Amino acid sequence: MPKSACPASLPAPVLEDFRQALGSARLLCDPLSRRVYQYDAALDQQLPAAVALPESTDQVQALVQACVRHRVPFTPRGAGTSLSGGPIPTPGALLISLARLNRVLDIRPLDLCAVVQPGVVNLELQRQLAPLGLSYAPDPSSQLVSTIGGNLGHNAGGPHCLKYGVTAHHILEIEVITPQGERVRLGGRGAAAPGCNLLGLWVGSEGTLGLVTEITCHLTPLPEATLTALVAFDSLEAASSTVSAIIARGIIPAALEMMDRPLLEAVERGLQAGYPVDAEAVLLIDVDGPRAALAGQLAAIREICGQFGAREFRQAETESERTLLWRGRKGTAAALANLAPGKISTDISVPRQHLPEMLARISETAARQHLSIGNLLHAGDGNLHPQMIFDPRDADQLARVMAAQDEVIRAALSLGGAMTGEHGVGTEKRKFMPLMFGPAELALMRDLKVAFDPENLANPGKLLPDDIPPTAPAAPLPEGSFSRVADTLAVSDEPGRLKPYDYEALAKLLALAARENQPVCLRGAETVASRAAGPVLSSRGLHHIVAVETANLTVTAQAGVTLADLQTALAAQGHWWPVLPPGGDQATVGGVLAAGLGGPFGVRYGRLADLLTGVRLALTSGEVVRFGVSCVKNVAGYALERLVVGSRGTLAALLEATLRTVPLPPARATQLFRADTLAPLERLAQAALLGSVRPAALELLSPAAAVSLGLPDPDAPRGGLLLVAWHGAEPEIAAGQAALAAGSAWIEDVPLDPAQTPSLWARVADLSRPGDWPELLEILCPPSDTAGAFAAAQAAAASHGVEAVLSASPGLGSVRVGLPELTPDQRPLREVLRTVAATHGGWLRSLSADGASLTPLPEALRDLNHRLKTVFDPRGILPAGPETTHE
Amino acid sequence: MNDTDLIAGELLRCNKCGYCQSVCPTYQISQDEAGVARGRLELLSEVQDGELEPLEALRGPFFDCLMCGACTQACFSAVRTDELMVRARQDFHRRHGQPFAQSFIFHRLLGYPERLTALMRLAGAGKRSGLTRLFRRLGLLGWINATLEGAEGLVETMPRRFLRDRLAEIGFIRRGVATGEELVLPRSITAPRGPRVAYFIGCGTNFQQPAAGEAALRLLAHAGCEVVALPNVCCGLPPYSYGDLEAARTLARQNLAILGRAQVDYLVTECGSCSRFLKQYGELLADDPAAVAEAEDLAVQTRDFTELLASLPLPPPVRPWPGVVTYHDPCHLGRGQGLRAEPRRLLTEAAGATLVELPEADWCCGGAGSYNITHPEMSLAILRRKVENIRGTGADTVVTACPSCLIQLSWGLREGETPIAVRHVAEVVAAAQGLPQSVDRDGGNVPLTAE
Repeated sequence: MPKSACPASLPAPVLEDFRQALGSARLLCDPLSRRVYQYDAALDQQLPAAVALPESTDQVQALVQACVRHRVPFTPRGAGTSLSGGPIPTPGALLISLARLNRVLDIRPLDLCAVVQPGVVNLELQRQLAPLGLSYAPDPSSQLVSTIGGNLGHNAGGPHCLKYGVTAHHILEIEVITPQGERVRLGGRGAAAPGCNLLGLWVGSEGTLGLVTEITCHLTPLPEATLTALVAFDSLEAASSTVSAIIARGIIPAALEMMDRPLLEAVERGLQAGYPVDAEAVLLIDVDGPRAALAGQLAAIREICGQFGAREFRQAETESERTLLWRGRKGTAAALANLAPGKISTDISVPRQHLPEMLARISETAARQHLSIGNLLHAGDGNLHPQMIFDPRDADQLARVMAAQDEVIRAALSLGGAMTGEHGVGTEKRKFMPLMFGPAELALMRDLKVAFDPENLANPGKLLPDDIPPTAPAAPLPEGSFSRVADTLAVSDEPGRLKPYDYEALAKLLALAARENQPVCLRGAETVASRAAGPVLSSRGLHHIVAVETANLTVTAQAGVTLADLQTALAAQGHWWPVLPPGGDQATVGGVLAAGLGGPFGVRYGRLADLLTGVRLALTSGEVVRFGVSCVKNVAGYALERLVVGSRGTLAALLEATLRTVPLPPARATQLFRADTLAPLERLAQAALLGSVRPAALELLSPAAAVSLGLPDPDAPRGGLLLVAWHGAEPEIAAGQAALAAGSAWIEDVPLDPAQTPSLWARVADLSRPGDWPELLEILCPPSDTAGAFAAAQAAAASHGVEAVLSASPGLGSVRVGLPELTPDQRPLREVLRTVAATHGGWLRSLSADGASLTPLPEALRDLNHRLKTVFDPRGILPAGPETTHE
Repeated sequence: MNDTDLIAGELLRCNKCGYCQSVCPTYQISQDEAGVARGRLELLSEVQDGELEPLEALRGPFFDCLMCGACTQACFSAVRTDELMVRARQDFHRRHGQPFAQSFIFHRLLGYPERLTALMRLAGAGKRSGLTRLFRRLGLLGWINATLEGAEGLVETMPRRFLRDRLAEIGFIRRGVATGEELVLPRSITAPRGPRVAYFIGCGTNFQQPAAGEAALRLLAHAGCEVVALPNVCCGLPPYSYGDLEAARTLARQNLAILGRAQVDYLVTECGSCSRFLKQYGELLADDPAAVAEAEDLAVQTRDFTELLASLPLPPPVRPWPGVVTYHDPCHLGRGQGLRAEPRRLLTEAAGATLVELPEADWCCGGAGSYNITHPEMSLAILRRKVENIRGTGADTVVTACPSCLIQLSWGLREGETPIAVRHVAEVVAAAQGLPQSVDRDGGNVPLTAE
């Protein structure tokens, strides 16, 4: 029967309302115009009830409000290149195409960010950035058409994620239209707004938590040079073992891609890119960075390839050869259309050391299902795309493909991997969610969705399965009051502190507290946290390192493991977790994550949420749940692991965390600059941040802070000091240092005693430890405002006669102000600092009061935090979040 | 070519990756999926499968396509969306009827040079009458690339005399009265003896851009070619583009009969669209056993003017082209025939011009035959991006190699503080080689309308 007897559009008054909302922009209602919006690049199809093509955020908001009024579900769509059914609407839904919101609103090199609308095409942004020497790191293969909004919705990856991270790592701030039609901003242009990491939750939520209308992307300076090599192997096994060996050796190429024979043939048929069609597998490797450092890196890689019997190692000689190789790689999946009309690009991740085994399992599946499966791998990330080609008109073949996909996903999960690494769950993989998540985990995700979108209007039918199996009834809790039972579940060697020694016990304590409405507070080493009401549930009993897997660049540790223990265990393997929190060695893994204070090295290594891939939590319901895996590439379901960062123990108890490790830098160096005014130091910091070698840390110090750190202190009063840390190979450090020295005419370069510098940085980090001051405040703002906020805060303190100790991280957008006890006359200083923060586009928070915001947050943002809190802690036994306690 | 197989085979190779969005000019303007290859193919495929009634509303998606071929080039499966759109349009006309004017032009005018010429003369005289509007309504001017519409009123121009009127002036002589009369332009006596070529006079060149044709002819003789002019008719591309394969094949057969007689080494034209379509005659007449062999021979013989001239020895320029030029790739020349280096080389070597590359040089200018008439708004939007790019180069002359592009670019560049000249490659090279300039360039054209 012709489909033109297609489902009717929506009732006329509803459509009229949509038209009102859209103004001059288009609404497509006739069957024909809607038909071209029923598909994406995957298999599922569904005709939308209507299609809106808004051209402004106001129109989008008005549309969503109209949807809310009429209870019409809505689905966002970018370029329609999803490989999971993300933009396929549910029946009766309004499809909102964001393709016309395609303006790059602002590029701010000094903040290393670009503000864009969601319909901006990824490659178009790159084109605009390149002349400025900048790039937006995530580069999904579809980047020449896929949009930043779509990339964000699916937390897209790409070949260069190995070194630079996935989309989630490069989103600073978003503007969201909530499912209630409210407009709210999450995150921040530099440091994020106080409160829970809602931004981290939203990225990858596939439009199920509302529409994103503006995105602030983090930018990366382009590397000075890139070398590309093509390596051919006679077996898949040799190629994949080479990948593991390269990573294990501590070499992190910019990209480490792999393709096997069927795909090489497909690519060469569509485009003569120069791939050897008689090899069983090839690796495509990019190394980038300062020119001087690259040859050595590539030579080391070449040696490893040789050890595994590579038959050809070809370095691209020209830029056009390089471009062509990459064009072939990025077009591989598309090229498969030459071979058969149907294609499923499966998308699984496994811990890197399991790559050879996973490939073996895939060939077993191929044999069992009589299919030809080609493998396309972001091998360096452990992310595989087995490509199954078929003729969809052949029912038997289709069934075998589906069975094969099922087998492959189960195999990946059995190896500790993820069911989707970067394509998303969408409509097509919902059925696999119960394979990866238990009932309690799925229920929590559903509860979150319900809390944020009670009417289920925002892109329903995605991400979560329709049927969530019931949670197994929990073992009955012991009878009796909290304090009586608590003693049986935990050691209490200090009054008011309970130390459970296993996950179950901690979970039970929480459940018990919930039952008894007993407020409790979760604490680690208490290096930065204040005392809150109720007994302390301490993580100090959970002090085991679960698994050190540096070949996979991960470590799994219990929440109470101290950084001293963690770093020692990692150092034995030549790795570390690149954070340096206040409290240093004594801080616990859980405490660092909960406080969200990662220290100065975030400039080079990223935010804390970017250094975390998985968590195990005890919920106040008494359940133990796990989110995330030992893979960076994992976009299955909501990224609840990222919520932990900065949550300050207000949501759930962290039991263990899987963290990203990096190889210990072969060398480190610190430069100290001093100037009479702040301006030249600010310019120097900007130069360092925009240079092609990323500094590890940048700290601006007030003279008082310098004195407290015991830095060389000449008599003359100075404007301040700038400390710059470099990590990396010698040539890289030399390049970075040279670039700074070249631009520093008015600045004194102060020699440092090398023996002192490691402890120096620990002392710098400790400037953020609240215990050392009667009050420690922090201004959170965009990077380019940091020096200005620093100067303004310094001036304000001086004019109030307050001897404040200031330090600032221009790369991170943070200014810390350590205050002595204030006299009544001096009290107004706090109000002035709040104004300083606001003037510089930021917020003021009190590190002395568990990060509580002193800047009132917008109602809509507090509402979202409140909804989140209600899901995790309905009884309110844990302290209120930082966003709710402003003055 | 078997149409059913072509359609089914091509459609199956689209896997909906959407990469065509990155290059499709209409999508770049509209950001509407109905205006990109993937969407058009989806609709065509549903019609083919009987899932979608062949509605009149399909006119938009099927006829909005410029057929510039950019999607095919960006597509890893190289799905030939332009060919599929021809079939879709053919089918559309079968069901919904072909507009009378179109049918009249394709079947009653294009194959009859004397009628067409007479009508075009009338159009020239239209300055005194309301004829222009009539032509516009008939869509006539469009079929011969003759008209453009600005946002404010009409700005059409017509040359005083057509290229065919001026062959004698250029130096053509009648020869072989006894053996079968020919119009021949003798080769330059100073040049090394080059090939004997038949020159195909395209409609756009003849009626609208005679200066380009004149320059091309003089250059061919200058490079040592003996040039024969034959009374060819329209190459057939306009009806083909509108899905009127029957008219296109009739014109092709007519041309075969006329051109097949000439004993020449090459068939050459300086219209990039004509040369490409002539090269496709074999494919066009594949199902006609009586004509296919001859058609294939003709296709093999065909050269674009830039292709042939670049292969001939030319002396260094006597008056190297002053100023800075930039080059726009016509779709049917660059993508269609892979001729990108040749015109550029002619500019830098034979004309000694300073060439700056045009960003998105092969992005369609929106002229696309008569697209600028049938889709003025879209055409203008596409043209604006082209004009911005051209202005960005700082060049004072933009050069191309297709009459339709020449007209479109002139339209786009007419306004603005610093007017940028628009020239055919042949004109630039001819001037630099010291050949006489056409009297009709600048000032030779007269406005069509009384306003």
